[in-house]
Amino acid sequence: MMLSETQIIQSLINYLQTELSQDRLLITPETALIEAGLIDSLTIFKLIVFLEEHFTIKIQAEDIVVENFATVCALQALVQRKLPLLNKE
Amino acid sequence: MTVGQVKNYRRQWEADALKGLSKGRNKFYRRLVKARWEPTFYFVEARLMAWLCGQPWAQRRYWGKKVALVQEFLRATNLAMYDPALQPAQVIRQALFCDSFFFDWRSRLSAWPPAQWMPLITIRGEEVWHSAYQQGKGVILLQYHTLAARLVFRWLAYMGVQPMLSIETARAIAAAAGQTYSAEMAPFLQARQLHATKSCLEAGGVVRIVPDLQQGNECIPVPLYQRTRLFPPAFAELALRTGAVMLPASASVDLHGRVAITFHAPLHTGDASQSRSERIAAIVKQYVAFLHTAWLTAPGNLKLGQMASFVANGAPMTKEGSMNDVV
Repeated sequence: MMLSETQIIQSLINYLQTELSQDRLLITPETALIEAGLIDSLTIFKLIVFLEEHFTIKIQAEDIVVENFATVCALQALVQRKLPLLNKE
Repeated sequence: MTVGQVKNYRRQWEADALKGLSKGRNKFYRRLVKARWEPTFYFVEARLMAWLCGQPWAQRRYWGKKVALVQEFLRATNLAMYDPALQPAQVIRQALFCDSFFFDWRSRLSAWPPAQWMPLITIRGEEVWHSAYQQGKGVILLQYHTLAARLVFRWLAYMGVQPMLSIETARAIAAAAGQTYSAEMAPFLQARQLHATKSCLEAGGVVRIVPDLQQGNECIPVPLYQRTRLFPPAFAELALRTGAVMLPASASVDLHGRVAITFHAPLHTGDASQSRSERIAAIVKQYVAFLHTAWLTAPGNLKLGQMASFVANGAPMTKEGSMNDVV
């Protein structure tokens, strides 16, 4: 199955909206997740498990850094880098 | 090379060899003496310190602030209400003994070989441990703030348990990695550790957690001794995700310097009729119930830092919150 950028971003936003129970908060691809205090260590951990299970990718310890989790766009770029070549557009 | 030079070279070599031999021999004898006598020093010093820590003049002279802190902690928790037989003087003596004598010895104890170390330790609930570990689903060892807590891991290492991982504070992780700690990186350091923890548990390993060392937004407020405390639910989340057994383990030292390790009954993970958040909240409450009993059983073994944190943080509980919620 090929995943487009938009599909990845939508999956991530859906997950974050549900996980953070922030129905009223509009999460956009550019929402600053860390600066807004939306994610903590447990949320990051759960997000990693979601990424690994949903996109069938493996997140390494060195990937767990501020830059990769700053926004939904940054997360999407991380997923895109981790996806097998077949899935990339 | 002349004959004289050869002789000089030989003399020098012999001198170096003798020096090396002597140094090696001294080291060997030092080790022998240390290995033979260190446990004796330990128990003799334990007796002396246990006596000293119980002397009112010594308490006033050396540990005035610490005594005041323990007294304040006993007032804040009102432990005497839960255990009328509790003797504040004994709690103070035990706390001073742990904070001075045991604090100095505990890292040295960890370095002792099993033959010296094992007679020092009493294990209770060993069958509970074996039953949990043999399930092969991983074990989350739940502990709290005592100086002897890390010795549980030492015992497990001697028993050949692996893989093992201990969850540390973000500051400790940064220090171990030689990084400068910053508040921004803290959640990432902890998330990395949780990620590694998941792999460890999936491999049937053991993870040691002191739950309130974690930080986060999702902490669950639970009443504990007249106060409402926030407990991070990361360990419960890990258990539900991996199926690992959550085993509370306490470790305390007595006034003779002997260490008792106790494995308690595993926590229940709830059932499918409950929502995930309900299950997590129920697990955290079970941990706090364990904490309630453990504090009451050996209050003098709590780290003074933990007592200070309890005294300083959290307003006394209002009437709406009741200890019946917990125990």
